[in-house]
Amino acid sequence: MSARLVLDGLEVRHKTDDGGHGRRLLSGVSLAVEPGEFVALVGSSGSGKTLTAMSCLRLLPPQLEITAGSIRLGDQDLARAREPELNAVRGGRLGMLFQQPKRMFNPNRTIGNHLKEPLRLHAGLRGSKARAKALELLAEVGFADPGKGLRSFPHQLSGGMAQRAMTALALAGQPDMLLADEPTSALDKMLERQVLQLLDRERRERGLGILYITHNLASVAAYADRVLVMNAGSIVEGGPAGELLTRPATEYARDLLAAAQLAPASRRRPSPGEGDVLVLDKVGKRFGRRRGNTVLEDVSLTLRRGEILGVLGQSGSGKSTLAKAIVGLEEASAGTISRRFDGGAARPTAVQLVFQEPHGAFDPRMTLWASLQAPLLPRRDLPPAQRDKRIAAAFKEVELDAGLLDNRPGQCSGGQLQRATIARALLLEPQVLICDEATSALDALTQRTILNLLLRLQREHDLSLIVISHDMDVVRYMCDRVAVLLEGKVVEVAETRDFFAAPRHPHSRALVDASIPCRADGLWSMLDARNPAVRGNG
Amino acid sequence: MLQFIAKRTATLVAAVAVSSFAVFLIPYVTPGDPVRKIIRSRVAGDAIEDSSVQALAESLGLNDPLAAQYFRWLGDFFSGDMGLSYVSRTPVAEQVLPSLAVTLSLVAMSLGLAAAVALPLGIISGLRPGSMPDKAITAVTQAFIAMPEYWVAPVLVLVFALKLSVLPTAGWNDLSSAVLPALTLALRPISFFTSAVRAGIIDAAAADHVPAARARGLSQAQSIIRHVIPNGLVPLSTLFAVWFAGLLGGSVIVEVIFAVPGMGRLLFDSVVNSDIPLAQGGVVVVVALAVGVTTLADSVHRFLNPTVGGSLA
Amino acid sequence: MRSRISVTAVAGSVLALIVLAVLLAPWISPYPPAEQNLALRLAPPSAAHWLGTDNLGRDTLSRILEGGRFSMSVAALATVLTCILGVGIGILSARRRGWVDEFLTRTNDVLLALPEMVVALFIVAALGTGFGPLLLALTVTGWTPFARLARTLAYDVSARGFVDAARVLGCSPRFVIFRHVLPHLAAPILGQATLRFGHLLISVGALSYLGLGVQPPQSDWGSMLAAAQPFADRAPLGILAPGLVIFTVALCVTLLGQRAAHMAAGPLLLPTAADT
Repeated sequence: MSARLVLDGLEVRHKTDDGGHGRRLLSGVSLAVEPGEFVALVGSSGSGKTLTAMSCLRLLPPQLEITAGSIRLGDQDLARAREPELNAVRGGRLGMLFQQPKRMFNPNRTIGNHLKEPLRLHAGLRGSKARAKALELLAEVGFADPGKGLRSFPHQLSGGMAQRAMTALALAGQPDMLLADEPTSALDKMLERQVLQLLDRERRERGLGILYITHNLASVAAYADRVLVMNAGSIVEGGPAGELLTRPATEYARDLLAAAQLAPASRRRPSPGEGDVLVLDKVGKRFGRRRGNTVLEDVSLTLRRGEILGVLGQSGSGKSTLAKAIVGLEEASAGTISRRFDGGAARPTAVQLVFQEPHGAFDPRMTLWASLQAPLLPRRDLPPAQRDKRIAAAFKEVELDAGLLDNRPGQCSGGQLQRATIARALLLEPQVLICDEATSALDALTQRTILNLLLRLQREHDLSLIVISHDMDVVRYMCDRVAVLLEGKVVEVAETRDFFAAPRHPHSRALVDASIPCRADGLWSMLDARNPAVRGNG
Repeated sequence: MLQFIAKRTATLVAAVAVSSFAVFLIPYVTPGDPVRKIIRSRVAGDAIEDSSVQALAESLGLNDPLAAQYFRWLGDFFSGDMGLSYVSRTPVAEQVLPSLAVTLSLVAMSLGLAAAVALPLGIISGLRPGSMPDKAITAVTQAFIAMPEYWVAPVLVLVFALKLSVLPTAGWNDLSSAVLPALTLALRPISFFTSAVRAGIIDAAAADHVPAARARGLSQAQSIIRHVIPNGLVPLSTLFAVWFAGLLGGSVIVEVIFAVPGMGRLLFDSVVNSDIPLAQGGVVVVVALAVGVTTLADSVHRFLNPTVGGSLA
Repeated sequence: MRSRISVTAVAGSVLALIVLAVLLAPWISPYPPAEQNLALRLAPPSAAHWLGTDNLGRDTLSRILEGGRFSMSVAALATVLTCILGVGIGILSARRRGWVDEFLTRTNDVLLALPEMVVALFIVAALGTGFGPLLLALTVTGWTPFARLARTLAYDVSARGFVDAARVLGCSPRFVIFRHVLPHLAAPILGQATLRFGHLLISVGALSYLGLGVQPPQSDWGSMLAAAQPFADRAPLGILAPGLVIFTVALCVTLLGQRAAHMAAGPLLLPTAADT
């Protein structure tokens, strides 16, 4: 039985109360994945990629329905199949990987308990035979101690291990085809690379077809045979990866490509003599009295005037605590943070923060206007008319339509809210802006626009920026200098160019290796990354 | 974990300390001579002659500092000597323990009944929120909370005992006399349990891992049975323990109405008759047991569920 | 949505009617509540006595109207007191953290664990009966649910990004509490307060039923039930009427409270899974 996945003219629509159909969410989606092929489905959030995958599994929410088209896996017509047949296909011939692996496990059951299900349903294994197979699978996906893995509960696994466990779960059903829905979006670059390598290896060894869904072209550029671009519910372009990456036909594809290929911008670099704006001297932070809770230790950094300093750290490195300490939300247990600009100590709001979670930064009950007005209220010297003017001006600067001011956060997109956060920070005429993973929650296209916005504002207002991120592409794009944070300590500080060309600390080297490599002139190409020697599969 | 148990035990000790000290003070703060009151609770016989008061006070250590007296009293208490009832002139302990047994069985029956009713109702409601069965179940069970026990009980007695004569009006003799009290006591737990199970099932059904289970090939039914229902019932376990503790002290009305010889009735009688030693014994035992049960339940819950981080009381 | 609104309207109007009737009791009661008519004891409902009479020939309807004053005023007062006290303590606990929080939470735990009825009995035993001890008995442990709820909510809200953002933006702590934290608390607290009112109403009735609440010659719904119980099979209305009133008020209050909480919530910060 051939294992080709073919979608032909798939259409999904909302169901209306009166039994008819409303909005079209997917229209005319046609694609094919051959056995052993790695096909990337790329698009920004809301383009319909996840919906496509869920449609293949016929797991749409009750208010949606497939109204046209076919879904075939080999000889089976999945669009018309009945539940018993579908249950055999789901998790069996057609496996799925999800975006946030830890949430996809039942928190009250062990991994072993989860593995029992597909092994029993699809491989017909029970008892000790099932256990043996489960151990085998966990070892295959990279568990150093499969026995322990079987006994573990989902919350005891790290993000990366959870994704591997999820992969084992999908493999247990002996799939012909894998649907991977952004399985690495929640992971940092190193883990992303490891998961991709795992998937690629399974693809080659088992002859699996993979439909890999992502919003970030860069992550799959190294592995995809073909790339399909999706926008607003339809596939707008598709073709062999090599061609699409060099000669994209549609404008949307070109935008995606540009967003993925963050080439370092050219900026005027401040010279050291212009003075420092923020000095961190041996800053430490401990929570509680136990030694084990040291989050930051001996951190010394200098932010020069007009500079963009990057702080590169993975999760658990202490970067969020650092951001909070600089801004004054947390008090340092040791060391000093001094502000060296005019009126530094007198103006506590001169250092502002842009958060990672745009929706969380606003009170959901207040309109954007009310939220932007709040920081201006203590300013007695500003009459209400002036206030409104300032707010309108701030919105204009971040290229947001003033009409949005009447909206509540729930009615705005992540990108819009992030701009609003920046506008709000600007109202206080800050000298320093701390961006704590400011673009991590956004998709690739939106990320790029926000980063460009920050660059422009930095230029126009002569701001000094600290950009905290786990994403090396962001750091490479924006920053003049890079500091690497590992387990609460700064292990390296260097000029960006030097850092990426020749990182010194072993951790820095590991980070740089995981990202797509540079060529000597600072530009890099995704095509280079497709070289197997570079991919690390050798 | 150990820290958690320590904190919880501290709460238990504090509760017992506060309540025991408060009841210990009763003879001292209520009108009348504290000395005579205490002698009456310690020495058998009906009347105390004035001449022996001094000597008795001395022998009972009533001239010692208050704190010392308190600790002596507490020590006696927990070694089984709770003094003599003013009314019956027999040791309080002999009345408290059997009464406790009665109340424990009444509460156990009520909660068992409540769980047996709430589980299926809650599951039906939770699996199809907003449907007709759900609305009906929610409406009826919500109404239970608004029904006072002192209204439901007489009505039930009127219908089943007086008009239909199938059940006794009062007393605690055999299983049939337990039906109406247990039923009355079970109404409020039924309401809260059903609501909790319903909410638990709704949350469990909305969890991300449920479609993931479907994606593995489990049918709708299998995913509900294996993943939704077990997860949805989790909140019920702590609720059960909390209600057990709550009903221990809250069975007063039911016991008085149905003449059930339990702790609630004992406490009520002691208040009405100003039987101080009996009240002291009853209060401390109930508090200790109620707080002890909640502490135990919380610890077990914490132990079984290591993902629960930090108790917000 | 249509059926929702009419439930609220019905509950609201019924409640308003009862409250109004109780408030106007002295003027609209057909008979003085204490007036006895021994010739007409335990009479069934008639044109002269809409709900019949009790064992001393007193008009049941009049007694119900008068009895409500005591129960509802005590319950209302206790609700307001415990709400303010509890919310204040809860917010204080959440904002101060540290040992203040620890101490208050432990106290809360201890009080929460004490059986309510036992505490009430104890207070009555120590201080006697009457309005004062009754109010004390209801308030001394009654603030705990509010404190716990307020604390949890305040913690949740404080952990949200926008509270941190407000601090960084230079908003004063007072601004944060009043404009950010309290509005998010309003809806759940309101819901809790109405539930508590219903609960307290029933508790007052319970204590009166046991003879420990209202004292003769005053009466309330609970004591009426106790008095009517021995005559239940001869005059069932004696136990049905007062109980039905308590039930109705408690039910309406709860329904209204849930609805009010739902509507006040607006863009929900913390949706409650419990309401349909």
